[in-house]
Amino acid sequence: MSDATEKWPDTQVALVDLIDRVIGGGVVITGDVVLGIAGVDLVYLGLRLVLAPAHEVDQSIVLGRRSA
Amino acid sequence: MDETIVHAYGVVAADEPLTPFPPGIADTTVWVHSADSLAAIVSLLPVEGFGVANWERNATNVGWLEPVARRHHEVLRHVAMTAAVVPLRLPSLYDNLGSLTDALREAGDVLRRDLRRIEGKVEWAVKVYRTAEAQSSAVSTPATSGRDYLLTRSRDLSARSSAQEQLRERVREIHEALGQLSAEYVRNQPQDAVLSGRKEQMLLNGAYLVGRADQARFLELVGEIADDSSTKGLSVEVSGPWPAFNFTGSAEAATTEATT
Repeated sequence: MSDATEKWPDTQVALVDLIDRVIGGGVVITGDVVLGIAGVDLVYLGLRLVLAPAHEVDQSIVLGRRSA
Repeated sequence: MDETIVHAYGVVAADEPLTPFPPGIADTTVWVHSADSLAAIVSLLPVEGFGVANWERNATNVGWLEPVARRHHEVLRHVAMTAAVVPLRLPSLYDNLGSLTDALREAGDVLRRDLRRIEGKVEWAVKVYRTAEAQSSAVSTPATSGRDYLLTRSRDLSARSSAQEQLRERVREIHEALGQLSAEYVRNQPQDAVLSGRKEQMLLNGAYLVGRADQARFLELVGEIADDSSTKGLSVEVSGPWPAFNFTGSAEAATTEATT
């Protein structure tokens, strides 16, 4: 750990709350870097793959995320 | 020096007085890049490790994404403690400072409008869960005959649906009461149990844009709601202050209802 991170400890924010905001909220201003990713949906997919086995949740709930 | 790419965290008014920044992503130095009346909070990241190719490769890789997201948020959180800052959504990359300047100028009107919208305010989040006890209650004694069973089952079902309706109504009231102390408020989709790791059903996922001077009163009300006997069977959780992620970037002011 660097000196900097000791001086500025991160707050304990739940990952799902963090992702909802930094990838699901805020403002997009057009840059000239265009990413070939679907943004938040792909990230949520990745989170599910990581978190689902730990929480042992019904797969139907997993697949139902954000379908609205 | 190795090739770098510009990461922008958020946008403030150029004349906004700011305190020293925490370290940026990958412990990079955070500073301010001004364009006209606006200023972006930025740091230079090595392309090798944080460029577009890394984003494309790691979009579903939480191990890579989480530290980037946390540091992005920490920088914004720090700035938002004292200043109005429009948070930028990840990924927020620019080839160079010139292209960032162009982007700031192009989006200038929207950014200035958002800065006015959040001036002097911060975001608070309130979640309401249905507690485990409430979910397992309303189960009757075993029936002794088929007819009894059907009657009991029918009564159970209607009691449960009426209890559920009462909880929903109470949650609507909570959201409205908190909204009365907020400049704007919005009800987001409940988070699902897989991502939150919570077994209880989430009934409210609310965000509230609260004046800095009104925060104490807002938190007091959250406490009153949590202690109120009418919220039996509900657990109330508050977090914040957050940078105003839920109250920037949309064309119109936030509304109060989302489909559930």
